[in-house]
Amino acid sequence: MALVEIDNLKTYFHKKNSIFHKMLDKGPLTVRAVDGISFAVDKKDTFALVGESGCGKTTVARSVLRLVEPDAGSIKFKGKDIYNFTKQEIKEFRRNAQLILQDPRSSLNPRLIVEELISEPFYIHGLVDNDFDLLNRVWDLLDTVGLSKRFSELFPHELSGGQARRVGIARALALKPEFIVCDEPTSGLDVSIMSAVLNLMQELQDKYDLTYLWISHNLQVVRHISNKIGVMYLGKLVELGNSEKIFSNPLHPYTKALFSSIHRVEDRKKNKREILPGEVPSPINPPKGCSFNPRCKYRMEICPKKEPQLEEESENQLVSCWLYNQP
Amino acid sequence: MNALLSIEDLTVQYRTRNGYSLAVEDVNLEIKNGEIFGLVGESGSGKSTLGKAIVKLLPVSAEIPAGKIFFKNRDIITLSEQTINNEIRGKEISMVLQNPQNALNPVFKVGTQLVDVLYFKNNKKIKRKNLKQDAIEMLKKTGISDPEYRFEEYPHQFSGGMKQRVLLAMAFISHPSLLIADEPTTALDVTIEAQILALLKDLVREYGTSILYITHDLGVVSEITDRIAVMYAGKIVESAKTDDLFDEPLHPYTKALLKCLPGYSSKEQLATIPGQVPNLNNKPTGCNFCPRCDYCFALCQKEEPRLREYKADHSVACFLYNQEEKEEAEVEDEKVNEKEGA
Repeated sequence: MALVEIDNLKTYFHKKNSIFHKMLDKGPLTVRAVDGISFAVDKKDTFALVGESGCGKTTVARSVLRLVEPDAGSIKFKGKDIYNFTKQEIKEFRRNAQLILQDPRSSLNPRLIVEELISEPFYIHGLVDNDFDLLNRVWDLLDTVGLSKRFSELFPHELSGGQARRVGIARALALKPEFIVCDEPTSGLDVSIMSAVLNLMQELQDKYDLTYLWISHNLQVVRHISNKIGVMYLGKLVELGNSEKIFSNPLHPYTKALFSSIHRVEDRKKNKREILPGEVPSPINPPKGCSFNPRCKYRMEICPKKEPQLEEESENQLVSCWLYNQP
Repeated sequence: MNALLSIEDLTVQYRTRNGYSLAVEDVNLEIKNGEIFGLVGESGSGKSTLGKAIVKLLPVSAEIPAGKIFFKNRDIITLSEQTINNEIRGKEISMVLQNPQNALNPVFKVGTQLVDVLYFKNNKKIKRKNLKQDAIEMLKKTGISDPEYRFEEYPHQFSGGMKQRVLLAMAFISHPSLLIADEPTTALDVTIEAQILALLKDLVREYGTSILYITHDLGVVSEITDRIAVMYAGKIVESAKTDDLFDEPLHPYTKALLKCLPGYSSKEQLATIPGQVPNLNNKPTGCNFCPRCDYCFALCQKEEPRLREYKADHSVACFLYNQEEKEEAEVEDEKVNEKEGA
């Protein structure tokens, strides 16, 4: 059984109508941040969601953690719908599912020292027996993420980006969760520090049987760490499946273009690069039919008329494109 | 001298509460006409400081105790602020910064800001309305659709990628000989990054501008540059033609950095560089990279290696590639050992 199952998730943001808007009688403004997404994350998997900014990756992550209310669809954690949890179950879920945020430094309270930052979750969940035990636990956690005891006395501004990131990981690990949502955990880090953080996260996954939902737009990192990926475009999944398979043989035109725009040292002598024209359209008023059709070079007659569905093209690879699914 | 820009023994230091912090130390580099030169390094390696020093845009706490920056055979450091403003900045040397969101003034129309560049370049002698056509032409060249309409819009109506296009238009409108691009694509998505880099290449081909491209992204730099210098803790540790550098990296730091990049297929552990970048207020004696280096030997801790040509167009600052000095040191070491033994 999958640890997390997402079925037809729709999260919309409703903008308040301004008086001008009402006068023009344009109807309600709705940002369709996530528009019908289904996938499942198995235990010990690293599922990566990739896509450009504004495609709804972070909204999915927040919905999965019950931080925003979805408009439709269901999210099941260990087989139970998280939006039907009782109070007790919510508390259990908050312990079991953790979040690592994008900006390592601003996600730490600047007025607390590292020791307080890491011990906070224990207080919130009432897991403190005595202060000495707690301090030992904090030291253990610091040790797990590769920091020495000395760091427990420091404030966030005294830490480097990589160290702050490690503290963030220690906080997420404190309550021994099973599921961690990582929202761009390596953005803003230097290459050498990023590689150390990636290694650490992989080690921790093996050690504690963690499941990651990894949100990133750094495709190199995603390729390295994930075993399943979902490619998002304008709130929808356009391709889903085994990561190795998709990276070696992307099917959807958007996935192809996205992967082709990665700059890699190894590819510097190859000269073919597909440059995707234009920009992501507004999710308030997405294009009709396939949402990628205005930028797609394989556009056919059917594309602007009817929306393709995510269908299995080969084993472990689903794609939503009329090129593959016959209408 | 056929170099457009040549920097000789440049040192830049910042005054801090704990004394001077050496951000750039003894840097030598040359940029030829029409060349894209990449400057790579991690954060805090001094690459942006070097970029700012070239246009003299350093903050007041910075000092240049030594070195020369020759641009078209004039030493920029000795020029007065007024000469630089009138003759160099924005005319001969343009700059594109990292964050397109903050680089445009939010209260002026995009068109006004673009025309301003031309207006001041011509020493206010041509009326603004006569310059409008040139500005629209430039916007069109940078791939902005419907330029007449967008000319009248404000920066908040542009997306990040579009703003960066406007900034490139502003940089190229005065036909500069040198463009300093300080991480121009880090804030952008990959697909937009690819668009901007392609545009940059086109503009360089059209105007024959040289570029100093400052970045930490080795992937980007490998693709667009002709030559690269790698900076570490304020010093250039290796400098070579792009292909040579990536085919055969010499300095242990460059090697380690390349190994850190997430590879394609292997799910194995990534290489890391142990330790941290040294404190710029208190650099170690000897080679800066020595505490983190796998190949470090006795001499590295005592003396500082200088950037030397190892083979044609490939210089490195490391004793591993400087056989004579290495052997001398070994002989000395042996002598010391013998004495101690005796």
